[in-house]
Amino acid sequence: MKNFKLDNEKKVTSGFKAPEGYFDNFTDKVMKQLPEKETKVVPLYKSVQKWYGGVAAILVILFGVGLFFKLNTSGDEIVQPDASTIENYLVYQSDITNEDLYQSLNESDIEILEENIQISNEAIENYIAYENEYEYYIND
Amino acid sequence: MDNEKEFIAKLLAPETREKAFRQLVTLYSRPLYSHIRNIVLNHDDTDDVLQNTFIKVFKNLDRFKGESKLFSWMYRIATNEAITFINQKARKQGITNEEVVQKAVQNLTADEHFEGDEIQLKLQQAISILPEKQQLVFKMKYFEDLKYEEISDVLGTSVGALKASYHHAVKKVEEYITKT
Repeated sequence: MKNFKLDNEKKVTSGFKAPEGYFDNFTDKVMKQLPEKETKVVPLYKSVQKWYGGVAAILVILFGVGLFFKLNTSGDEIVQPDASTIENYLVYQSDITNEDLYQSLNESDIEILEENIQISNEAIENYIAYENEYEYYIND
Repeated sequence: MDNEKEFIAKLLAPETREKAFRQLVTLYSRPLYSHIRNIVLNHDDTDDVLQNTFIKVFKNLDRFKGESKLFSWMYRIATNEAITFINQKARKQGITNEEVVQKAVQNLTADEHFEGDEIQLKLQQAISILPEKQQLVFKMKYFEDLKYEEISDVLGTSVGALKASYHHAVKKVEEYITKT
């Protein structure tokens, strides 16, 4: 084609079209997917249940840790568990969730973690790329 | 939209939110469809991204500060969703974003929802080899007829830089079409 100039040509459209009737029910399709926005009233007994649940979970963890070390120590000998033993215990005890671990960290723990763990920019980028929710905050 | 402030107030108030949002979807589904389709190129992908865009808009209504226009804010979310979609597709297929777009252009001839003739197809091919930002600027300016000020609000780039980007994009597109 000789000397093609966009301004000299008739406007070229994108050529894309939506299937016939696509927009007829699009609004309804979106409306059905919207999350509930109303503020839910949580009955008191439910929050008490949650509170009891948390205490129970902590007791189970403490009991589990105690029992584990009790079973792994011989006689009267008191052995201080090393870091890898604790790590293995936490990794293989499936009823301890990440959430439980986050909850047990205080500010100085987090500061120590920040000092000791080097996170590369690439790792941060990958995390953000997979977690779409953060995009909004970056652009905002 | 005649009275944007009033409409935004309706979107934010729990008792009028649903009705106002329904209006918003009806009003913006077509222009946002075109915007997303111009980026991801395929109808089914556009459908997914468009729905995600509106859901994200709804979820973030409370965070809309009214500093930019509702239009720009929604276009920004749609643009991010479309680009994120291409990034994810590229990762899954182990190829670059550019390759994803070029592959989508190659598939246009078999796409029943693309009714472009030879020049339209060439134009899509020419755009697909531009840098990502130039592609966006070209599509928003040429296909969607948006003003530089509006594109600037959406992309967060100065009007001057956008004009330069568009100028370069037009040159490259014209060169490509002239050569092929």
